[in-house]
Amino acid sequence: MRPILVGAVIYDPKVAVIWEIITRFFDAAGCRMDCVFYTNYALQVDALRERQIDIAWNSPLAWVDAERRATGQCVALAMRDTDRDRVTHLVARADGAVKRAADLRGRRVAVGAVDSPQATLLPLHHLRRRGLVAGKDFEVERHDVLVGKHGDHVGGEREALKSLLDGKSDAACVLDLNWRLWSADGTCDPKRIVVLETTPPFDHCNFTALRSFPRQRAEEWTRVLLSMDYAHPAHREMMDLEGLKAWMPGRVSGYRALREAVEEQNFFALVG
Amino acid sequence: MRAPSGLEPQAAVRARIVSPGVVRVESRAHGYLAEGQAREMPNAAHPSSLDYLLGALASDLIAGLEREARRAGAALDAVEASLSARLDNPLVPLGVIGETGSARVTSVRGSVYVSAALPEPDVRALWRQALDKAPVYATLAQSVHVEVSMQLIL
Repeated sequence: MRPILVGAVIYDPKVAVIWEIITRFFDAAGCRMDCVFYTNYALQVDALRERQIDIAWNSPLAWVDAERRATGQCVALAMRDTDRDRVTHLVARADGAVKRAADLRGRRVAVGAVDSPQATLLPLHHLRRRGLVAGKDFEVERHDVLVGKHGDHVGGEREALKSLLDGKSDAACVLDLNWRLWSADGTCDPKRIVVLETTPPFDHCNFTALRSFPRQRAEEWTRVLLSMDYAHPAHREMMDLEGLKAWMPGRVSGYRALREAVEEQNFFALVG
Repeated sequence: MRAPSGLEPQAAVRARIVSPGVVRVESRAHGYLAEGQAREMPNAAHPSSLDYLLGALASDLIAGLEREARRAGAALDAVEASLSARLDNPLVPLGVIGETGSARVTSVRGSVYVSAALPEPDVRALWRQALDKAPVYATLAQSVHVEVSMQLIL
């Protein structure tokens, strides 16, 4: 029987190390797997649909895309604890004129890459819920770093924040985890830059399989993944690299806002 | 005059897989292990192919310099090389589907540090002689941008 093939998008050779460790962990548990790397999520979703891989480590946007293209025939097997209930902050200068969302009318909002759920699609969707339409009520300043990787690379978000710090824009969109990190490491001063608005919680990545993937193999693979224990030193190394304390069962309730956002912004027709 | 290269090769190795990702290389009476091609596994048990390539260049350069000094009757107190290599696209050897470019080494940069009780022009002359006779350097320099500076440490 061939090993279970797991797809992942990588933008840096260092990321491959994480997958090497995961592969060895599965081998040691008697569940053979191998990794197939892709340069972008569109290729990975193609490969999943064509059954060239069995499981895909999907961004939230890739999950929505896979669901859309496989007409609901996808299942989310697992996700990191840190993938659940993320939020994006819209931040602004503490001494600026923008004190609430409505003040963004006629102003400039810096976002991440065009395909970043957390730094572009979801915050623009949130502002629309607040009655502000991008491109009509406010100007969008996009930072398209490594498009195709769905904002995995933090560069676009960092550029958006820099734009705010440099006074080129009036607000910026930043994932909560990055906001916490950059507030602590001196990238920005939380007394100078403050949170203006926060999106409702959403979920991030998940391991996606097609429903046609044999259930027994999917369950076995998921069981092994969920057995990874942060208290075990050999497991902790990989978990720290990947930024989690525990693997959790997959859930799909946290992608509703993103589905609405891509429809509202006509994302797949315009960007694909 | 150019000597014929002859029928006998100047170097020969045999290599075989000994465990997943690990290769044992036999060269004359010596054997050594290599792990992976250019992967950055922090806890790999053995050097990668790329590590060996860079190591071959480093030893080629400083062994050559030491030999030239010895032949000239000059003593070098210490010689040390520090080199780094860059690939055209490091994601290609990982097999990342959709990546463009190649797995080739595009540049090697570094320094050779020499400590010697010799005038600097003499050390530089020895360095030039070593470069002229270094087979690994001469080979790589044909296709890769190799920039290695020699620095004299007093």
